[in-house]
Formats: sequence, C-alpha cells, structure tokens
Amino acid sequence: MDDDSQKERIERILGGDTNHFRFLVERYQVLVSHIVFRMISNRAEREDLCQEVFTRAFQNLAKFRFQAKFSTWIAAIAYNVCVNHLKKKRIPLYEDDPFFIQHRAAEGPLPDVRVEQADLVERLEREIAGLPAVFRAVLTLYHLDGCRYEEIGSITGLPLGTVKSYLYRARKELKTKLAREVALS
Amino acid sequence: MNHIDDEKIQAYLDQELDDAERDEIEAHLTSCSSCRAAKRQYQLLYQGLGRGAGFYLPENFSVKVMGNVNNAARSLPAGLKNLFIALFGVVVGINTVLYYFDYRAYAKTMSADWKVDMQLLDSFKTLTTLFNQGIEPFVYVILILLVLALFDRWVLNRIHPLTRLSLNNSSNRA
Repeated sequence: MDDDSQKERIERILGGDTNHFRFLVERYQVLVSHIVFRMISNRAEREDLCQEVFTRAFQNLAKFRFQAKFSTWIAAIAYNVCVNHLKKKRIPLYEDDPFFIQHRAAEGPLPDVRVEQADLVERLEREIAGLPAVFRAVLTLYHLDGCRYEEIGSITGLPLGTVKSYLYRARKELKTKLAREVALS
Repeated sequence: MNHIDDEKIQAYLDQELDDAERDEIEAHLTSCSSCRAAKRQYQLLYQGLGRGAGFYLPENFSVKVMGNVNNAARSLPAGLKNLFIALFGVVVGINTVLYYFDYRAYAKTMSADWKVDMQLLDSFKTLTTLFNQGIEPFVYVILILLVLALFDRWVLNRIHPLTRLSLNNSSNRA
C-alpha cells in the first residue's frame, strides 16, 4: 500500500467510512502481533492487547499527521499499550528494574535436561523470553520488522544511544547464554 | 590489533561502520579464528532472531477488530460524557444558588451599568417561576440550548473526530 492510497484510505475512514479501517488492520496486524507477542508472555492476553492496539489506533486516527510512517505510528501505539499493561501488572521492563533483578535471582540456573531436548530455535525463544520487555521489543523491531535504530527510537521514545545499547546488550547476552547451553549439551 | 569486541562485531553485522573500520575488521577476521568464531555465533543469532516466532493472530482477527471499532464509534467517549455531565451540573448549580441567594438585595448595591436583568435571573430561579414569566424566559432557554447544541457540535466535530464517525454512521443507517 503506497503512501498516497494509505492517506486516501485514512481520510475516508475519518470521513465516516469505517470499513476502510479493515485494510489497515490486515496490513499491520503482523507488525502489531510481533511487538505484542514478544513483549507479553501471557498467551491469553496477547490477542486482546492486539485488538486494543487497533481500537486505540482507530480512536486516535485523526491525530495521525502523516509526518511519520503509519507503521511507525501504529508500532508506537502497540509498544505503549504493552508497556502500560506490563506496568499495571508490575512486570519488569528494563534490566535495571528492581522487579527484574528479583525475578532473575528467583529463577536460578536452567536445568540441563531442557537444554538437551530443545533445539536452537526453542532455546533462543526461551532466552529471549528471559530478557526484559524493552530489550525484547527492540530486538523484535530490528530483526523481525526490519526497523532501523532511528525508527526504533521513534517507536519506543528511547534515545538513539539507548536503542543501540539495548540491542548490543540483548544480543550479547543471548549469544553468551546460547554458547553456554551448546557447551553444556 | 586486539580482538574485536562484541559491540564492534554487531556494528559490523548491522553495517553501521564506516569504510575504514570495516576494512580493518575484515583484515583482522582473516587472521583471527577466535574473532571469526564470535562473528559466526552472532550471524547464527541474527538468523534465529530474524525467523518468525509463530506469532500468528486468528484468521478472523480483523473481523473482531472491526466489531470493536464499530462499537467504539457508536459510543460517546468517556471524556465527552464527563464534559456534558459537568455542564449539566453547572446549570443545576447556578439554578440552586439563585434559588437560595438573595440576588435582588445584592443587585441594589451595584452600579446601574452592572445591573443584571432581574427577569432573566428570576427565570432561572425555579421552573415554576419560569413558566410564570411568559414567553421571554422560554426565548432565553431556547437560546441557551442553542448555544449548548452548537458547542456540542463543535466539540464533536473538531475535538473528537471519532464521534463524527458515529454521527455519520448513524445518518448513513438512517
């Protein structure tokens, strides 16, 4: 969908033809699901949160000024919906979050038996799930959605240096853990 | 050259280095098996991170969303509801104050320029007196309602376009 047809579609929605919103949902549901599924561990809540993202996007559509890409705008809504949800549930967002430190200390080492049984993708998914939510979000935006550092900054509201730092730290931690698991198995 | 640190390897794979830095790293990689192994590990990690992780929404997801969206469009936003409740409260409040406050005695102390229209205030005092005042109070009431209605339309159309959708949908259905 090019920018002009997208703009026309949005103007039609704002003019009252809500059916056009369905095209936007179908176009961006993969992006939204990447962010929500990666940031939210509870499977039961994921779909509801994806729906909330699109409902909020619809409610705030008139505020979209075409200054950024629509994908960036809706990804930012998805990110903020997830962050608010996690804060409400007191789930850690950052590595230096005291909740995260407690959560980690309580987790303890992973049993070797799981390492032997799991393949690389499963291991990777498990290790990603152990990262703070914001780290998971930047990893997903970069690797699954092909966003560049600047775009991730626009979506998350994080400074460029912080985006880079979170990406580097997340990947280094994943690499170290996976290397350790491979050595154990 | 010392071993390449993790940050540099990632920046290399992210293609964030300038030509000179990239050449230096590539030259080092040809002669250092340890750094080549680290680069290979990161490449594998990047491949894993770039794979879809089975994040699929149900096929009827967009239908569900459209159901929510249409419901949201039909309902008046909470903020506007609160605004109209507040306006209603103000009107009732003024009426109550005027009922108990001896505004006629107070008006006598005011200069002629600032004297308010007693008939208008009286018309607000109670509904009973309102009906006893003849046609004039009704004109005031209609004017007030008109102003409120215009304000209402302005809020709906300018402040919250979502409600405009709701109005358009209602007129389309009609």
